[in-house]
Amino acid sequence: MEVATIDVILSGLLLLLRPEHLMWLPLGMLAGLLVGSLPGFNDTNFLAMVLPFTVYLGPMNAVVFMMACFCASQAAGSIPAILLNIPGTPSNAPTCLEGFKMTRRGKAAYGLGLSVGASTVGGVLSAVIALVITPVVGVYALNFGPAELFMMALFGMTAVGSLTGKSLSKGLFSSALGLFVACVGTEFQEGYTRASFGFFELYEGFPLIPVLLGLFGFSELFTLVTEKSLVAEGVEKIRGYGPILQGVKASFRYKANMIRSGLIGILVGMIPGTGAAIATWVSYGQAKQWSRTPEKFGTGHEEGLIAADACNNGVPGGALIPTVTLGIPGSGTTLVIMAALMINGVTPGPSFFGEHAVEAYAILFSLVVANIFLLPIGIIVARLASNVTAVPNKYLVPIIALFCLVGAFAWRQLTFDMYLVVLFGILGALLNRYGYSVPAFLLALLLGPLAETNFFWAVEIGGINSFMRPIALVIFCATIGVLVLPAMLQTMVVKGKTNPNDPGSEPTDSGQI
Amino acid sequence: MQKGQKRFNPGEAIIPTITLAFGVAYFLQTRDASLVAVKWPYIIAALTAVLWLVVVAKFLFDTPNHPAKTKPIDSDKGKVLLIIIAPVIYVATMPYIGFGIGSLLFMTVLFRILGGRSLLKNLAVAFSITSFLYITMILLMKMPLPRLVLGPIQI
Repeated sequence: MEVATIDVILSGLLLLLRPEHLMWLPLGMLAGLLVGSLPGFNDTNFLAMVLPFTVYLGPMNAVVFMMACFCASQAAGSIPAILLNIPGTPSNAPTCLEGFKMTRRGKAAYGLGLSVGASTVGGVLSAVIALVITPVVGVYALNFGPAELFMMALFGMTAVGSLTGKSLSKGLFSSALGLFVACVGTEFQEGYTRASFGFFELYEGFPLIPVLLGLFGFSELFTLVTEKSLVAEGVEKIRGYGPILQGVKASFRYKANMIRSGLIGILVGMIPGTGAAIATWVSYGQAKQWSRTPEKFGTGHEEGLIAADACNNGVPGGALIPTVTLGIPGSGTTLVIMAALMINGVTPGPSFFGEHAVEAYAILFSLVVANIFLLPIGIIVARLASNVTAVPNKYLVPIIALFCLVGAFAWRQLTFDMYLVVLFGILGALLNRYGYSVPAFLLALLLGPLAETNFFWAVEIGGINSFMRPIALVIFCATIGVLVLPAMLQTMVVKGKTNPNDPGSEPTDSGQI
Repeated sequence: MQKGQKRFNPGEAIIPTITLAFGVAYFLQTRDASLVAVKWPYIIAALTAVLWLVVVAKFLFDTPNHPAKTKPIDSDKGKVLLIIIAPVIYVATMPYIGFGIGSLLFMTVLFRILGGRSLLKNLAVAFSITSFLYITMILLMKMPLPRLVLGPIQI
């Protein structure tokens, strides 16, 4: 197996630049900027909602749209964080610490400009690194057999389970519960239908799209409906583009900070289950450690905001690497993107770069181009943002509910799937409320059949010795490692959250994922 | 609430109870299956059982250092129930009244209950969203959503 030639790489770029594909990029960015700036409703929820429609777009258009949406929403989450002190996504919590202080000082537009500049640089850096190293990782991934794939599935589920629950036990329990629920449906060895509970709709197991819509989109309604409004009262009106452009210009003074933060984003993003919410706190903590003026952190300091936002947009590139090369999504959003590819007949994984090299490069280039587009579009959207964040919940909640229900119906044209949205919405809300991990549950549900099939193939082919092969053993060691990782990351997060101006300050739960 | 004092939150038992109920129902449903067909579920059930015991033991015996931060929902129970009941009614009635009218009613009623006082505004927003979905899903994407047939007209 050889690494792709320059012809294949250029073909990927040319494929992306075809108008029928490229037109989905700005559309995805606009959708992402809109969604990311709505507090409490993130890109994962939105992409889960539009997932059924991707069948009609085809894999290339769907992924270009989703990647653009992913990048833009990561950046847009900073808008309500800066203006309202409400993180648009969990990863924007560190942005609140610095950005809202800037707003209080009458520098909201300047802060938004800093955020757009840092997000662009962090995103482009991450996308270029992903473009270079992903195919190499993909080549090595081709050596994976059933044992290695089983170990990868185990690794992914353990990583997500151990890092995304309120406690290790609850996170791992969420993964186990997801695996158990994945046991519903017809098994592959004898064709026996396991526990369909009398519903023919469950013969193939729980359908992915209604479950996704329920767990991510619908479950959020239980929180949104109990809150009165998102109206941005008292938010400073942004007048003109001047302060925003000054902020963008100022962000380029902190090159080392942005590069370090972007690298942290891509590294943490590569680990399945960690995600941007952990990465931004780690980056914020590191920026404070490296800063000449650490005492200014928490008071509306430019360095803190830049570190958080450059890292935040560095995560998509990192999260994409395990998704396309190993079929292990690095975050909830990449999980949905992977699902979009799968329902369009393209399975990400070790053979992805072999079978779909041109499309794979086009996807990677879409990440680079989306991040370049982010600068002009981000500046325009930042100016209009305060109007978007003022959407009242009384209108938002029924609209989201309708989109979730109709989206579920659209997939298989079964009314049963609409009831599943409500059922899994309730389950998702309960899992969230009591500190279990929805991403871990969902990933286990998605990877359960893969793990089962490869486990039995590995046992059939080489018995228990299959799992003693070097790569399988290395992945197993990594699985053990991720069980230890939460404690290490928590230490770094605590360093990031502790304000040096207030020695007695304790970390809050705002950064919890 | 003093630090270190045990807080008993019955809500913590909900997920373990759901899991237990699912497990019992699952193995009742598959009691006639061969061992080959349920070997994997047995492995997963054993793993889940171990973690279930850990979670339940922590819930029963662990003493939290920080008070639980789950938001009380007593005052919002009506709204939470509405989010469950309204979609169920919408889904149940859609085959009879069609997607267009069903969606329009669903949103208009929910807007009103959730605090939208202006009927005209509620109708305008509901009509815009329904029209958008109707055009994109039924007219452009040709999805077979239920439609009310009134002679030659389908809504």
